[in-house]
Amino acid sequence: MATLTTLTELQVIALSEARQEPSWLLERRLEAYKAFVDLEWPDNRVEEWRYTDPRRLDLTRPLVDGGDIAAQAPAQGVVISDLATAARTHEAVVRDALGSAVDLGRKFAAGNLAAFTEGLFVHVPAEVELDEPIRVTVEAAADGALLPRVLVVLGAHAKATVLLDHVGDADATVVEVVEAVLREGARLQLVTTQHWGPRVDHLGAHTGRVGANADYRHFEATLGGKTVYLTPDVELAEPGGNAELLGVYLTDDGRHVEHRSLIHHDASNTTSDSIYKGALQGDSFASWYGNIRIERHAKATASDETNRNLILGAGARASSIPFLEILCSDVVRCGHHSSVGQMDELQLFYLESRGIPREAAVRMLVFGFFKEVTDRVGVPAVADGVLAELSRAIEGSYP
Amino acid sequence: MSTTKAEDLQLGSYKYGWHDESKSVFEPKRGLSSDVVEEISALKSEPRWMRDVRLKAFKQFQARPMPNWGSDLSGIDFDEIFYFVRSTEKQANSWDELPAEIKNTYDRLGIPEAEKQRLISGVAAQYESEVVYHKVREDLEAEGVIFLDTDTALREHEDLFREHFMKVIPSNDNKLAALNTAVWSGGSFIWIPEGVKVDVPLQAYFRINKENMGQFERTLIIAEPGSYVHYVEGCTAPIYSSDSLHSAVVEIIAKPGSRVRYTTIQNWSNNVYNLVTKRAAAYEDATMEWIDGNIGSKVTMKYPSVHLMGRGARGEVLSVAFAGDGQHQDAGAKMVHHAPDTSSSIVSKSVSQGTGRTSYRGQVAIHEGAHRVRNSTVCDALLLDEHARSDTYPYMEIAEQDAQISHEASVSKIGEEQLFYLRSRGVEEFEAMAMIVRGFIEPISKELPMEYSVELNRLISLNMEGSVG
Repeated sequence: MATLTTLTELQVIALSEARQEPSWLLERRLEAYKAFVDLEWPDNRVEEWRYTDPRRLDLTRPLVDGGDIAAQAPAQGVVISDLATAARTHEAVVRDALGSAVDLGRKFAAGNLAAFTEGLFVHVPAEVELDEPIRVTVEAAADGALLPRVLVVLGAHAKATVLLDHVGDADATVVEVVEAVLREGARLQLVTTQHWGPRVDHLGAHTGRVGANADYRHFEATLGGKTVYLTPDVELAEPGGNAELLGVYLTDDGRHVEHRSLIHHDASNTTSDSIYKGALQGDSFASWYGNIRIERHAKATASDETNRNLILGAGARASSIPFLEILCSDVVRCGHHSSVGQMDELQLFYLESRGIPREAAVRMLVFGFFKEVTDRVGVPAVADGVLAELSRAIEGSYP
Repeated sequence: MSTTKAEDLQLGSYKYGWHDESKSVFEPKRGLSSDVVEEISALKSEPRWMRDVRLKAFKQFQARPMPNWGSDLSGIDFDEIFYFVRSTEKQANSWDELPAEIKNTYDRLGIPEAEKQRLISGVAAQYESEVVYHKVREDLEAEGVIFLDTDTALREHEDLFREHFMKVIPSNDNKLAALNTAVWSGGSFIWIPEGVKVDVPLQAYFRINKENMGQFERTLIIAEPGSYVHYVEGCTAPIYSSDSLHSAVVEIIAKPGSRVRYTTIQNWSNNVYNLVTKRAAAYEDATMEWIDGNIGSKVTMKYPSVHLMGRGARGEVLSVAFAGDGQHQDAGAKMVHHAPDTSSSIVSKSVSQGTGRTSYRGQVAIHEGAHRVRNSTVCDALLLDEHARSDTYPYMEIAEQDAQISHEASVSKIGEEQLFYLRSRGVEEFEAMAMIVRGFIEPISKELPMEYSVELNRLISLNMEGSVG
């Protein structure tokens, strides 16, 4: 039985053959496999894994052959198919985009490309503007290791919203890669929610590659899972691109959550804005790391980064690490803001003095805390749902 | 604004870049071995325990890897360095007793003026490895204040010294601290008796005069309960073609209710690797303040820290860094909260010019049991040239739920509108830029003693020359 730690070249070939993939895709897998074996297994002595010891992840679980990615699409010429099929039917687009946002520099990303068990391809052709969202669900239904891979490509001036939900309650380790490739002037909103059961470990690399004057918004609601390590990155590779990274997270007893993002300004006139807010309760840990890197040639950039942590219970630990690496002096504005604090007792007092029960007052304040982020999600149904889940989850956790 | 030219005036404007003919009384060979360590100890006629400490630290130095983060340190060749150079037979008691070259060096640094005016309560001057001149105001001596060079302190106050030495920074703390512990020489030793408040700053100057010279001074400040002291150090080195290493260790113990302020204006020339470990322990209701100015050196890696050990302790770091062509100032601060009701603040201002790079690297850690901690960190960076670089690397690690931590950072270039405003009022472009930079660092420069504040502004203006074309 194949596992990530014992993966062999023959197993990679077998995976590809079973899916009747074209030879170019097998070559890609083998190239990724080579990178995978050449890269060291990371440990917590390297910066990226300083706060999440990779040993927390159970990597010995057998690969589940053919996990579950389900997708629904509206019409209008949108292509939604599994990656193996798309590799034949839309070879040019897939060849060009696959691996262009998440490269092989990281061990787990290389492992995913070598051995992804389930792949999904979403293509919104140029000029097509979708009103209805595309719904994608990744499910961890069976025990084991799951390697899902999602590739979303938006043609020039296309517009779409993709809702990516994660569900499942198995003993699972999910090593996921989501690549979003936006061509010139495209607008993509990628709204991800994560509803794992308490035994799921999740390693997720989500990267948006943003074309000229394109607009990318990534939202993340991290609500479940045991050990969760997510890297929502953005590559602003062409002039005029704009990115927004939004996130809310909630921890409780026994959970370990890390968000780690790089916003790479690699072209002029690019803008980015990032805001992550989390509430921590029980014996849990949450780490947020954000790096904004502005290259020498990326003139007239503007960037802003915010992380706020609300600690609701004893035993919760937080770390917040906002980096800036600015190699170009021609910045319009660049800054970051980070804080760790508690519920404002003065605000609680004010609400209680007006006859609102303490529990309702706490709920209102937490609601307000997160609403600043969810208000920016352009899908009210999802935003309201996430807010409701958050306020339900913290009920009774604050005395 | 134009790019800084390659023939930037940086070197030319480094006004401390002369060197005297170095006449060393004793000169061991380059490179380091346990024999050299023993020789240093023997020359100083040290007690056996100190020799053992040095030898153990030397082993730790060899075993530890070089730091692989921060700056590029591959240019340091430990085998090329002179680890100990003695430049005069014995310490002078008055200025006139000093050898002419050394006196000449320090005259140019402006020490006698300061001494004559009695503005400064005590002055120590270190040339190469050892302190060559030392003077403490008589009334402070009468109050029991000890302000000596560290070698003399070890001889004259061995028990006091041994009780506090290496208690804040163990020899194996990091590779450079181990190196310092193995070969340390000179530095200041200060002991302030209980309740004594020293009303004027104590001062020291450090100067490297020899090529490939390593300077490893060791400073230890002990403030007994309720006392106050402000210590000021300035550092300069002439310019040589090959690199020098300055690797000091500074330990400060602020006992309950005391207050210690430590001010550094580092102006090493652009071939010095300045890798310094500075740490203070602040006990109950004590206040520790670091004011850290980094103008010179090729590479500086320095993160003054405060370990807040007792309830109600307070820590503060004011850091200002200026990096010109080819310089990397990797500076910052660490606040480690071990006790409840402690608070700290960090203010960092950095300016990058030409191809200079400034990095703020900081850590705020709240350990378990440290309840109701407050911290505020503000980092601002100003970029003067197209190829200048600024980084911010703050770490916040919080293990208690009732902490209140905030961090704000901003990076900006010089505002075209500000420049236009000043120029429209007849201010030349260079002076306008210098004014803006002075305004930018003002929150820190105003905390300095007046003559240092003036010097800081002047040094930055000198370093900025040539950046406007």
